[in-house]
Amino acid sequence: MMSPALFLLALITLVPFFSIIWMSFNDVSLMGGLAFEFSGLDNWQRVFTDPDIRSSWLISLVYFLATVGLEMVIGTVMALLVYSLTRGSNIIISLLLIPMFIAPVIVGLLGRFMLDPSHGLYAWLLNETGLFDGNILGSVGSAMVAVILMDVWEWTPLVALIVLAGLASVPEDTLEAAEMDGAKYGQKLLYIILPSISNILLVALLIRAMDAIRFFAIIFITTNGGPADSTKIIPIRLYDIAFRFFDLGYAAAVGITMLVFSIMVATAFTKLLKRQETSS
Amino acid sequence: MATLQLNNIVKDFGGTQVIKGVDLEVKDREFVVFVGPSGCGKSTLMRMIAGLESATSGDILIDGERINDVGPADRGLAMVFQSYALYPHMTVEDNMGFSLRLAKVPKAERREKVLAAARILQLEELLDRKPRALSGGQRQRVAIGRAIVRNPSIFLFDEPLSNLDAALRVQMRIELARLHEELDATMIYVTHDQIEAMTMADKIVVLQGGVVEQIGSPMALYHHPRNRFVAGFIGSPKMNFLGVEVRGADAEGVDVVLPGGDCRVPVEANGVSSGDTLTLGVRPEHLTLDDQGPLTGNILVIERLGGATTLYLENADSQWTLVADGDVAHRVHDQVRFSFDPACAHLFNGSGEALPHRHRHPLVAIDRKENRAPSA
Repeated sequence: MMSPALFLLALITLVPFFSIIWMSFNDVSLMGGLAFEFSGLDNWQRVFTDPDIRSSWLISLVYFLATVGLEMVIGTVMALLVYSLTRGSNIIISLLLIPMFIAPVIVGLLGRFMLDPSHGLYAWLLNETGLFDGNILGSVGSAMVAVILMDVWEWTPLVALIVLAGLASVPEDTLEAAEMDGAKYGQKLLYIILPSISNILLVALLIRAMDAIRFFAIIFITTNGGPADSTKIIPIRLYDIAFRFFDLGYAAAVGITMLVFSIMVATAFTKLLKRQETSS
Repeated sequence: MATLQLNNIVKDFGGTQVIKGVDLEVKDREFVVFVGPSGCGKSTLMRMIAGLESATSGDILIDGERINDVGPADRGLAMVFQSYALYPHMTVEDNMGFSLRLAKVPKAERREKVLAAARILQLEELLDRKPRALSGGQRQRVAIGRAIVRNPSIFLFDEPLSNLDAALRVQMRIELARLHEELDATMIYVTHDQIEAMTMADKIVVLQGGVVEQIGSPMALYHHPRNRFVAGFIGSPKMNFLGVEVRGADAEGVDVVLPGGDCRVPVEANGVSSGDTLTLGVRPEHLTLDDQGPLTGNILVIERLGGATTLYLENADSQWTLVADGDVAHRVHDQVRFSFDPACAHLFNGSGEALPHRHRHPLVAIDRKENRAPSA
């Protein structure tokens, strides 16, 4: 009964999974038809010694910490503000969520348009106010800030939405009890609200972290890793290796390290979540 | 310790008036219970006293000082919530000491105060536990402990026992009464359970639809309800009501027509005259099975409680509940006759107001404290 389904499952997940592992031990060429040439651990040795890969991982880490950190902080503040509204919160939430529904590629295109040195609105504003003069996406440093902010703009609402759901579950009378105990808003936030929603915050963090590791579209469409590889996070590097240099065996090895890293992050989070649950 | 005074308190919620002008005086060290059906405004009234809700108009005075504009933390009150409202991620000790921690009380002094409260409530063993590792009754005690630690001038209890099972509720009721004596503090208690009100209160405030129906000692409410609502609400099982016609009235009382003959109820006539229709009220425990009684009924249901038996009776034009002793041998569908002592009966006029009894019951001035300890 189950065999057709299992067969299909094998076809779309297991076969690619194992073939990519096999690919990572081969020199794969596409010229004159697909050809595998066994190369042992050559690709894996490169993964761990290639300075380009190392710098891409570092850029990824910076990118990861900056985007996820900003999204968590701004998203939480946004949720607290919306939650404190007495009226109109529904329409505000709907408006806040709009960025989330725009495809990342479109966000990238929008960003490119707004930051264009000759006719971009933001480029003009920054130039007029004297804050930044020059090609934003074309300069090391500013390009990284720009792509980070684009990601933050798109995904902060998701964090806000998740945190908002968490806030709704903080019992009103617990907050009132704290108020009667003499807690000011900041103390309520620190001692009651944040500990109560710490699980939800972890979930939001997990979702965003998993996304940030494999993040691709915005950078691909805006800087494509440039200038001077300053925004070349690991997925962009992987794309280059695979589809610009067609070094598919090496790309497979890089892809597997990304997968392992994702699994490690997810495991760490679920462990944290479990610990939270048993302690509270 | 403290007194509380409410002057013409009104509360509007978006155009709906939920509290319609409440006046109340709570004396020092008094145990006052707000009681009434759901939606009568008793919780809102308490929340206004606590400062969690603002009064639309009227004055709230503690020790003679107007505190309408004082924040909840600075009123010197402590509240025990229906859901306990414990801080889930803090231990029992941290829960109880939270207010002291916010007030920057040194750790050693904090611990001392928490321990003192824990001792009163027998919580010493549980100080390191988190709320979710506690039973309902223990959580309740922690919530009370959190209030005690604050050493408030007035304790507020918002239906604190309604989440407990019946046996535990009885036990906590006794514990609260003991606590009131031990702490000797002013306490205000909200409940919809008239048994809690009767057993714990020095003074009961009966509320309905945002209006105070009657304020008085438990015995005053039981023996001298001011109107039909209070008469029906206080006492269990509920008072029996029967429409009756007035035969005559004089200074000695009012004569009413009953199926088995006339009956003289010793109340003030207050302008009632022959031919008027009144409502007769008799509590089930004041009805007695009596083969010569003026009333008859067919037994519909019998509830045997062991010590007492509740009979649900029906006759051509009315239904009655009768509480007899535990040894009644009657069976369902038996026809029985019953009677009552007219001195225990009540008469209500067309607008539901009670005609005042000519004699006050001797126990109406007795409060709960005197019930338990001989007064010095």
